[in-house]
Formats: sequence, C-alpha cells, structure tokens
Amino acid sequence: MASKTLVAASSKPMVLSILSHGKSYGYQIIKNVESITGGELEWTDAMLYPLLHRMEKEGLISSEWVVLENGRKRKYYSLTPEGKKVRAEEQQQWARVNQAFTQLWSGNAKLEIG
Amino acid sequence: MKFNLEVAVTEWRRKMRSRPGIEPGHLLEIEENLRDRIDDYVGQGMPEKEAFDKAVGKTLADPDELSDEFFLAGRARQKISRQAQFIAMAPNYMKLVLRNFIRRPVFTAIHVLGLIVGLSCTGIIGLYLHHELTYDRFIESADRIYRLGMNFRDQQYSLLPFDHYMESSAREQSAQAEAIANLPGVEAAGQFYMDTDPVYLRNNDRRITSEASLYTNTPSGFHNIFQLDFLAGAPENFVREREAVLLTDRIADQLFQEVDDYSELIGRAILIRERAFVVQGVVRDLPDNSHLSFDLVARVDRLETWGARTYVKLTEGTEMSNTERALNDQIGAIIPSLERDELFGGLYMLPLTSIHLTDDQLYELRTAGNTRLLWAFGLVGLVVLLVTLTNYANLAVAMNAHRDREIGMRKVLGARSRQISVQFLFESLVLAVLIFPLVLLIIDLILPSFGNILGVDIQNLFFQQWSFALLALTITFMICLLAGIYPAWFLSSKPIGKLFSKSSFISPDTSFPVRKVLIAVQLAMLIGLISTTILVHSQLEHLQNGDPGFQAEGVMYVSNVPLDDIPAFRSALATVPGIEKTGVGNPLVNEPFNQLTWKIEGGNTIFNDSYTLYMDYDALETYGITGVRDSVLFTDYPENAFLINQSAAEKISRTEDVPMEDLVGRTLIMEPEFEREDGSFGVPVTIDGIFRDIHLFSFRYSVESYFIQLSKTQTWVSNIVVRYDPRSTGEVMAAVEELYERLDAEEPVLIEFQEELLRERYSSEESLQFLTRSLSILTVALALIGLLAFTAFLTGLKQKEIGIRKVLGAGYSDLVRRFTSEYFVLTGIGMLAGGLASFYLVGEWLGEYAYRIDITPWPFLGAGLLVLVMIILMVGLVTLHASRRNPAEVIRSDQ
Repeated sequence: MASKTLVAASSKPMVLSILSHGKSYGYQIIKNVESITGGELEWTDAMLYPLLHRMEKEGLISSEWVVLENGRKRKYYSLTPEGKKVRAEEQQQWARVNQAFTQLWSGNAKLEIG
Repeated sequence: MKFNLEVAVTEWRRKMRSRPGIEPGHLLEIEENLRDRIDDYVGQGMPEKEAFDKAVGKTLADPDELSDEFFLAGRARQKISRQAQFIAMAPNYMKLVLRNFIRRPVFTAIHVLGLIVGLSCTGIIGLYLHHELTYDRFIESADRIYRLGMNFRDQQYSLLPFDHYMESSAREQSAQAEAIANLPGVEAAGQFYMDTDPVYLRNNDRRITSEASLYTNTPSGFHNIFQLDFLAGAPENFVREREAVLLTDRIADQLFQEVDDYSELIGRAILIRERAFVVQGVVRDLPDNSHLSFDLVARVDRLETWGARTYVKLTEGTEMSNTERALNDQIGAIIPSLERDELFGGLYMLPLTSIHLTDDQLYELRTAGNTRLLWAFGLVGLVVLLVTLTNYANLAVAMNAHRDREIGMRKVLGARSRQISVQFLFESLVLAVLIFPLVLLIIDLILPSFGNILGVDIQNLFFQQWSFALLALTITFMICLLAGIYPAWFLSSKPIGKLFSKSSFISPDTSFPVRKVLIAVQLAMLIGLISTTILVHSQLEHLQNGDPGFQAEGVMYVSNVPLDDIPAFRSALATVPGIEKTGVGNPLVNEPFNQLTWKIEGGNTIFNDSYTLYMDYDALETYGITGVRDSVLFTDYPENAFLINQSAAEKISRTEDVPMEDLVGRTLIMEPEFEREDGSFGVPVTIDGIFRDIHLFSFRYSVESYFIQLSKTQTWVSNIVVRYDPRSTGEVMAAVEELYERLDAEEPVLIEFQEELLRERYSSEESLQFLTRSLSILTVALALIGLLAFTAFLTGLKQKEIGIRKVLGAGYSDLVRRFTSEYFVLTGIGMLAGGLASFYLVGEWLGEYAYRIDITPWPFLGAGLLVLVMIILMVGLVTLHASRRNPAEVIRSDQ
C-alpha cells in the first residue's frame, strides 16, 4: 500500500491524468485508479469527492449531470483548458522525478560520492 | 423479512443527511457511487443484502472524515480577520439600522426621544452638581487658602473682630493683619470688608449703582491670595498707589460706556460714596461659582467696620492644624481683647473650597449651598438615568421582537451569535453618534432657564472645554452600549429553532424575567419620585402658609434714607394715598445674626439664645405684634420699653418656677458675663411686657428668645417700615421713589417687600420642589410613553391570541383584565420599594425642620394608585384598540 502522503500528493495529478483520456465519473475514477495500479492505490470516496469539488472550484475540471437510459443520474467530470495546462505541468514534474529515480536505480548513474 | 434495496438506500440517505457538512448535491453523487458499486457486486453474483452492506462499508469507511473533508473544501477561501469582517459588514449593519428606523418611525421616535430627554436631564444635573462642587476652585492654589473664623458664644463668625471693634484705628487694623501674616507657614494674609448696601458710583455725570463694594486695607495680601485677572492696569500699581480702585469688566462697561479699550481707564477718577478713587485696573468678573462677588475693589487705609473678612494663604507643604494652633497661641498679639473674653471660643481656619457648602457661619457672604439638596439632585439624576436605561432596553427588546426571523435567517446563513451582538451594539453606537449633538443642543437651550430658577449661572462646559465634551461623548456611548447590551444578549442568545417558532418573545414561559424586574424597578422609581414630590410639596406649603405671627401682606421696607431725613421723609410718606402707617425698626426677615446671653436677675441659668430687635412704637403697630393672647401691650407710651417674647417668658417661668404673669416688672440681665467699670455684671433691663411669639426666621428653626427694645424715637436703625394698601402697590412704590429722589440723597434707595422676603426664606425648599416636581413629571411621562409603546408592541404581537380569545367568547373587559393583571403585582412591589425609599429619604429631610408635616401612608398609596390607574388606562386603551380588529382577519394572516 502506498503511504498516505504519497496518495495525497499524487491524487490531484492522477485525477487530471485519468480525465485527460476523456470524461469520467467518481466511481469509475476509483476503479481506474485501482486497476491501473494493480490495487496498490485504493481511494476512498471520502477522499475523492471533496478533491473533485475542490478541483472544480479551482477551475481545473468541470462537471455535468447526465441522465442515463435507466433513469439514474451520474455526475461526469472533464478537464478544462486550465486543467489541461496544469496536467501538462504536473506530467513534466512527475516525469523528471521518475527519470531521476530510474537513473538512480539503474546502477550506471554517475554520482560523486564520498 | 425480504431485503428491499430501495428501502435500505433510502434509509442510508436519511442517515447521511443528518451529518453536518454534507450537502444534498454531494449526497446524490455518493448515492450514485453506492448504487454503481452494488450493481458491480451483484454482477459478481453476490446477494443484494451482502452487496449493499459491502458497498456501504467501501463507499464511506468513515463518514466523519467525509464531512470534515467537505467542510475544508467549502472553506477553501482565505480566512478573514475579525476586524476586516466588521469593516466589511459595517455598511450592512448601517443599512439595517436605517431600515429598522424607517420601518417604524413612531416607535423609533419615542425610543430615541426618551434617550435624548433622559441624557439631557442627566447632563444638566451633572453640570449643576459640578458647578456647586467646584466653588472657588478657579482661584490659583485654592487648596492652600483658608478663611479665619471665630467661635463666640455658641456661634461661628465668618469674620474676625478688630481689637476695638468700630473704634479701631487704621494702624491697629493693619497690625492685626501683619501679626497673622507673620505666623509660621503663612505666605500671605489679607483683610477686607464687603459693603452690600447699594451705593452710587459716579464718573463725571454718569451715575450707576454698585451692589457689592469690597474694601481692603491689605492690597498686597489680597492680591497674592485671590490673584485677580487683570485685563488692564498692573497689580503693582494697585498695591502701591493710595486711593486705588479696581473695577470688574462688567461694571467698567456700565460706567464707561464710551470707552472700548480698558487701558484708557487707568488713571481716571471715580466717586464712591462721594469719595474719589483712581482706577488702577480692570479685572475680569469672578465666575458665578465663587463665594465672593463684587463690583469693585477699593484700597483704603482703614476699614469702616467692626471686623474684617480675613484670609490666609499657607506656604506649600504647611499643615493647616499647625498654623491654627499658632493662631490661637498668639491670640494676645493678634486680637488682645479676645484673650480675656469669656465668651471667646478660639479661632479656626475654614478651607476656601469648603466655604460654599458650610452652612452655619454667621454673616456669610453668600447663602451657603445645601449639601442635602445636592444629594437629592444626584439621586434624582440617577433615577432619571435608570428610567431612561430600562425604558430603552425594554423598548429595544419589544421592537426587535419582530426581528426574530431576520436574526434566524442570518444565523442560518452562518452568522455567529457574536456577530448578532455586534450588530445590536453597532446600532447602539450609531444611535449615540446621532443623538449626541441633539443632547448637547438641548442642554444648551435649557440650561439658562434651569439656572435662573435655581438662581445660579451655570456654564455649559460641554461647549467650553474639550475634556467635558469628550467625557459627555464617552458617557453617551456607554449609556447607549449599556442600553443595547440587554437586547443584544436577549436576541442573539436564542437558538435558531426558537427564532422561527411563533413569537418566542411573548411566550409566558421565559424563565428569567429580566423584563419584569426592569418594569418593577421602573415602577418603584416612579412611585418613589411621585410620593417624594407630594411630600416635598406639602412641606413647602406647610412652611409658606404658616403664620409668621406678624403682618406680612402690604408691608415694605425703605432703606438707605439718611438718618437726619427720616422724620421729614416719614411725614411726607404719610400724605401718600395708599400708605396706612410707617415706623422705624429692624426688618423682621433676616438671616440669623449675633445672639446675646441673658438671665433673669437672681436666677442661676444663663441663656445664650436671644436676638434683640430695635424699633419704635409705630413699627410695633405696623408689624401687628401684640401681647400674649392678643392682649394690649401698652396704654401709655414710655420713652423706652423692653419686651420679651412668650418663649423666653416660658423658659424663665420653667427654670425659676414663677408664673408668667409675674414676670412683668422683673429685671433681666443682658450679657451677664460682661463686667462693668463699677464692678457689677451685665446690662440690666426691666421687662415691660410679653409679646406673642413671632417666627423671626424660617420655620426650619424653632422660636428662641426674642427681645424688642422699644423707644419713641429710634436712633439705632434706619429701616422705615411701611404698611400700605396692597391694591395700590405700584402707585405707592412710585411715590416712595419720587419722594426719595427729592431728598437728593448720596446713596440709592432700597425697597423690599415683606412677602417677597418671606418667600426667599424657602428658596432652597423651592429648588427642591422645582426639582422633584419637574423631574417626576418628566420621568413619569418618559416611563409611561415607554410603557405605552411597549404594550402597544406586545399587543401587536399578540393580535392572533387576542383574535382567538375573542372567537372563543372573551369580552373586552376579559382581555383588558388579562393584559393588565401582571401590573397589579408589579405596582405593588414598586409601591413597597419606592415608598420605603421615599419614606426614609423624606424623613431624613424633614428631620431638619422644627415645624414639619406628619408623614402619612396616603402620599405613597396615592402615588401607587396614580401609577396603577395610568397603567391600566394605557394598557386598556391599547388592548381595546387591538381587540377592535376583526378576529377573522387577524387569525388568517400567518404573522
């Protein structure tokens, strides 16, 4: 299981990245996170929904209620232009971190030690 | 029981809704999430119940965490500081204030008017008290200045005699002042004599009258002590030049109307009592709160009097008692004749600042203030303030009862009770700022007439000194805050739910009856004030209507006629139509003067309470003084005769055990301590008759021993007593003035009326009557209007109740009885508390009077009944008005 801080830090870029593939709704997002991490990250509703609302308030995502054929309603979220920009920035940052770890762990990193 | 998914979800939703922080929109989203999950689990082959339970557990592992997270998400904005919040809200508060003012103009007007009137009253009373309590404090180093007094017989003299009384030389007089100035710790000593007979001042052809001329033989000491404010001229010249005179600016303006620049007056000559003086200065007139008041200060070498007002200024740090001891130790050097005098009881020093409120000094310069009256003023001021406060608080709660829903809405929208309080206190402050100028203006308008009635010139310090204006503003703020605290607390502390339930304010179950206590306190104060007013009024009537024992109506005194001209002047008066009789003698209305000791010859008891009057037989007849039981005193008229009053006669007959009738012909010894040159003691006189008691002084004092020294031609006194027909007062007065002009006398005439003088005896009582009467009327009006508005408001809120009661068959009288019933109890409590307070205070006051009314329960019962009747009338009228409305309409509406 990922640590709480990591979950907290990664939740926002994670949501942005999922939504960059197209609009989605809360439960679907939770399921996608679970499946893409192989069950490593398990999000709760208590965490996700307030996060979605906060991001909406910040203008990163927008939402719409959609009525399904069976009469049920579902709230879909999608990225705003602002959200896309932030996602790109987040991607660069995480990519850099990822690159750093990949090099460090590859064994041929050139470090000045000692 | 079969599991029903829909029922379970509905139940879950209901539970979730009660959690704070979760809004309906959030909940719907989460519910959809739950349903998706259940669908997934059921799709995996799980039974519905199990799927539901698992989904609920997964969806919301910790509901509290969810609501907390939502709360944080909702408050993502920056926190605002409280001050900033208040400033941001201020325009809103202001809008609310104005809206509430405009919506109910009449009630608001009454509300605010009450506060304005109450505060103005308090302000005026405050100014008056300040005026009375700061007498003579304007003089520099007033706390180091003392006036010397003398204990003699049983009286305290406000002046010191000279060694040889009237016959003292200029040198002896100044030696006395010098001896005092040389005492240890004395920085300066000054003597003066105040001439309060009207005198003419002359500048060439212009002639004006001065009512108070001060003569001093010690100009240096006088100036050092009193530090007069010179507008022109120099103190050094006044001290140095002989025949110097200082004029006050007021008298200088009258005497030299054509001169604008006071410095031009220096060196000009004027005549006082036909004697020439040179103006050496113009000084600023002393303020009204000074025991000294003069038109001019003249410098002379010798004071033409038997004793002088003597003042000392001590050096800094000197103990008064040390100087006082030195004063008495060296009495032989200061006033040698007193050292051997048995009647002399020592000298004392009276602080300058306590002179005004010390009321037992003989020959005082100005009628002393009355401490008790000041207490009364302070107390009444407090009552007015309390009534104003309670009125304001009561009305504020009643008027704001309508705002239950406004407050409810604001609380729902997130206002804390602190913010609601702030709103109400803010309204109070806005009010304070708005009414403050009005209060000051009213004070300024009323103050002059208020001062006139009390005979003082009170300065409106609020307009003159910043510190006073600031103080007044602070007090206004505090009063408004104080008045706003109760409504603020009352309305902000209620839980939201109650604010929306039907008129929680009027429901009878309010456990803490603050409102009732306030009303009871108010009623107590009203009843206390009214009963005090009644009692003060009856006592004053009692005093004024009491028979003084001599003729008062149609008697006037003509003074200042030169002694030589008196016989001719009287014959001229006799020819004036309307004048019935004239005589010569002491005026019968007077402040206490010096008493003499006496005893009956052969008796052992020495009395020290006698006042002796001098007059001729005509004056005796003019006054209508008769013998005991209206007996005729004289059949023939000897050259001289001596009469004693009934009280003195009774004293002798009691101590010596002689019947009163046998006293005529016996000898009385006046001043038995006084040793004559032939070795005998005292002055013997033969009693020629006993006269019926007269009240020489106010009814405050009991009758003491009065003697009348009669003679055919009176040479001791120069007051002409005139009895005339009261219907022709104007003509008589004009004729007297004309006759006096013809005398071409050196000094102006002084005409006084006996009835007026009698009234002046009771000026302090009249002040008290004026105070209690005007303020009780005002307070009653304030309280009643407040109560009226309050009741109108209450019944307005109770419209529906009244309507329902009417539908159920209640008549007007039932309704009126129902709404007035609580006032019976409250009035009863008020009567008890207010009555007791009034009984105690008035009792204390009456204790000072030798002649006084008895306190009966009637004034208290009357006051209580009066208040009750007024309340019932008022509440009844308001209820009646409210119950006139058609119940069908009232009940239909929802408010």
